[in-house]
Amino acid sequence: MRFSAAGASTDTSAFTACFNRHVDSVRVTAYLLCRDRHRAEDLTQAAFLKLYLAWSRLDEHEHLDSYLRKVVVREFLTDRRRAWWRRESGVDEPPESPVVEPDREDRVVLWDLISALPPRQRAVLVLRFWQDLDVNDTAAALGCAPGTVKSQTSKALAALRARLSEGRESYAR
Amino acid sequence: MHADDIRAALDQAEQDYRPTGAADPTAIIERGRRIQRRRRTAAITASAFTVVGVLAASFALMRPEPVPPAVPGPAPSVEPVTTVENSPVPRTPQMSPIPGTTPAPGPSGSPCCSITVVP
Repeated sequence: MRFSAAGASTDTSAFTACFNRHVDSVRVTAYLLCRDRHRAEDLTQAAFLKLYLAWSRLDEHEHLDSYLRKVVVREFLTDRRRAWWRRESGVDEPPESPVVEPDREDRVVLWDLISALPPRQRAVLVLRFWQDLDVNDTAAALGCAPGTVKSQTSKALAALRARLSEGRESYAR
Repeated sequence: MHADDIRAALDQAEQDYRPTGAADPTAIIERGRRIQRRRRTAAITASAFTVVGVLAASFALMRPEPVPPAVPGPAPSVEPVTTVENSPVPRTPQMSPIPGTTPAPGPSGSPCCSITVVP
């Protein structure tokens, strides 16, 4: 299916339908990458804006998922590299923070540790373990070599293990 | 640490996430159109400047060389003018009558119309 439509109204309706279909997935991916609700919205808008600007050049409807994923991840990584004074960051916590139940505590702690990882390692974990992408697709989304994905995954898992063991030791003391 | 632990942690974060819902397709489309208009205007302006620049450069290259001002040549040499009268070349000799012949007068009295030979 080709998206180069006959008129602007066709483009607008097709784009709106695509937005409604993919926005939830893009938004959650952005949130898992940056752990900031407002920044996740900014990333989502930036991804769909790029999609709109490239709309007439896109050929395959099936590739929209991977295209949006790639745009979100790269926008996140690019935004992280920007100068700190040009980057806005939320300072307040969400008004209604989830109540941590005992059986969920480990997952919340692990989520905190994942959020503390460097951006590239976090992106690798989100793409591989939440989006269930293989090494090649993850590398395509990140724009790097498959070997880099493997090494980043290994480093991220090692860092998580080390921090978890540190936490357990300090808790035991 | 297993992959399932990470998956469970990310799933938990997804469940706890409450989107602000600020992203709006209409606003994105409007913003996209503004950007497209700006890009189109910039492209047209750049094309116009390029065409004008190329034309100016070609005119500058194809303009004929300026003609240098006329420089006076050497002074003409004064030589004596040779006229026909003063020329050393001899003029055509005057025809003299052949002895023994008398030019007979013609009917019109012209002596050169016929020649009478006297025996």
